Amino acid sequence: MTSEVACIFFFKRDVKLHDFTEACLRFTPRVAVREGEAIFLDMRGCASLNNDINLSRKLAVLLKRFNLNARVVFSTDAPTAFAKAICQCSKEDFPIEAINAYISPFSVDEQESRKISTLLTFLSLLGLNKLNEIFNIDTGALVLRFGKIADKFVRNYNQPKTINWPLFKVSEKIIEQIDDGDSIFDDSCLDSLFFGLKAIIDRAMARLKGRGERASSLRVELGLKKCSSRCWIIKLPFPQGSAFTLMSILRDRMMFDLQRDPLSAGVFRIRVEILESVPGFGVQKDFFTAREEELETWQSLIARLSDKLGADNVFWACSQDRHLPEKAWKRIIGLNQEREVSERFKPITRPTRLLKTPLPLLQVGNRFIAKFTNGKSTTWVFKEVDGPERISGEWWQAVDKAGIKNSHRDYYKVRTQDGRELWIFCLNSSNQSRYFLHGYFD
Amino acid sequence: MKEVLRSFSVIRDLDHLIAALNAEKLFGAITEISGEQGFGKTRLVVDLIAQNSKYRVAWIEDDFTVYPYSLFQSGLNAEQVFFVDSGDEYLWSLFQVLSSQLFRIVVISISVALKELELRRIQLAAEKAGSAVIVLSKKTTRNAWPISLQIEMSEIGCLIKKHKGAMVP
Repeated sequence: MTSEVACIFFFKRDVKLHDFTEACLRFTPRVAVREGEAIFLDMRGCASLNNDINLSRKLAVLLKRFNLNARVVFSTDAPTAFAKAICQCSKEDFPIEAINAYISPFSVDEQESRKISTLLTFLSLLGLNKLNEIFNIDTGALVLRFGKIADKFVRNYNQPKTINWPLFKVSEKIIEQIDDGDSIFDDSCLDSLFFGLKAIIDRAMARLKGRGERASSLRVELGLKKCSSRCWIIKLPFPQGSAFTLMSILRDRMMFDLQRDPLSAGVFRIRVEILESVPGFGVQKDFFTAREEELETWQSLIARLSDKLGADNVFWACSQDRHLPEKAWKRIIGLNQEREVSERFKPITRPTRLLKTPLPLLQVGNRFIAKFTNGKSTTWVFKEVDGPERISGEWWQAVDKAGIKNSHRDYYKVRTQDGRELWIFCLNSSNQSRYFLHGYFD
Repeated sequence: MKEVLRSFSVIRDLDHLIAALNAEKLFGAITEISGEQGFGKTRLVVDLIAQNSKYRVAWIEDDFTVYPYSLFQSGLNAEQVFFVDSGDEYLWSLFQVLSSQLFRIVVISISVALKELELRRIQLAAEKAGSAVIVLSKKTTRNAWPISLQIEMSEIGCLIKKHKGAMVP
């Protein structure tokens, strides 16, 4: 069964409900707050998404996340739901005090409260105990006697669905924090710190989800006891909507920094501020494919790898129409980049390993001597040679010191006596031939 | 496959070996292919992947020298292989990739030998993800019980050093 209005009535008075209301926007776009007391969710347009049982379970989880205690009551309209939440009885048994819920369900006005208490005194003098007994007397006379307030009650009681819902405005910034005068987290135990951070991130992400957004950059600040603080500004390669993924990125980044430079004192405050967010509504799961879930896993993996290794080091590759071997492919970074794959491959097989920088070789007779950067040297005796394949250098490029980029290169596939296959090129100048090892047929 | 491995301690024909390597048996386990540069260990892996084109592959390198152009020449799809230039963070990257469970084949090419404890952790992660982890290294790891299949590439050809469940002559 799906009711039209849900009222979340808080046991503790004067709680700040704005943040929680923001998180509730995930259930319905129409919400209203009665400051410090209750939140109303208009479920009329969202009946097919959540039934009463479903919604109350989801709200229970959300309330726990925000550390709040409340009672959830469903009804056909806001004042009845609010009265039900206070009185905990059916509409027929509402006491006379429930008149308050019908006159102003969404706000508390002191002037109005005084008038209501006068009205209540009068009604109790008449011997009325239940709300529906009011209609046994002449309501016209009641309106004449008490004016606007009585008229408002009669109208709202008879047509509760016509009451205007106040506009709810989301906050400009999302800031969540745990703040305590004393040290709440020991500097020696990072696990407890991350446990506290997770609670904050959970709340921030719940608010973002309610607003239909995802975090693209955030700031985490730890307030330390000695009047100092540590701060991290994290820019995410993919906007994140999941607290789990975000936590794993934060944990990796902060652990790495804190292991190198530990905290100088205990932490008394953790503050998270979402600096930038992008629209990112949640997508419904496809019953037949796991595409959305997979996309989320991809984004999460790339975000974690990019954060640790650098965005350029996590990539797909595609071929491109360039003659120079090192430029015949390019890195594709990110999930949504278009890949212009060239299918025109060279007819001659290329080596499986290509050195980042060609290694100069010294030719002595039928030997090549290579000196590696680590100081070691190797001698290869060549047995068979295939080639040359001439590859023209890019003459329009700036001249480099070794002249490798611009000159014509004559490539040879060299089989050595010990069975290796090397890819060597020769640079011919007027005076001499210089040989370079460029790859291995590994 | 067992028959092939029994009958060939040294396999000169790589095509024969690739045909014998049934990818299904490599899943959830570690395979090590060792040998110096230029003996054909990368070619062996590339051909194996090309034969299993339906699987997504993660290719992790601590010093990125693999040449993607040559991989495409061998018939690999550009969208099939996801590359990670990990630097010193090769183990961390490997665990991230395995834990995502997005890849059926994970190739890791490293210049240092893996320790027994690291191999055990990789074996457990591979088993959980159901992925085939192929380690490309310069030297064959000794006493590496978590590795299921060890192949050494050298000047004499391809030597099966170890295969769990099969006798190596």
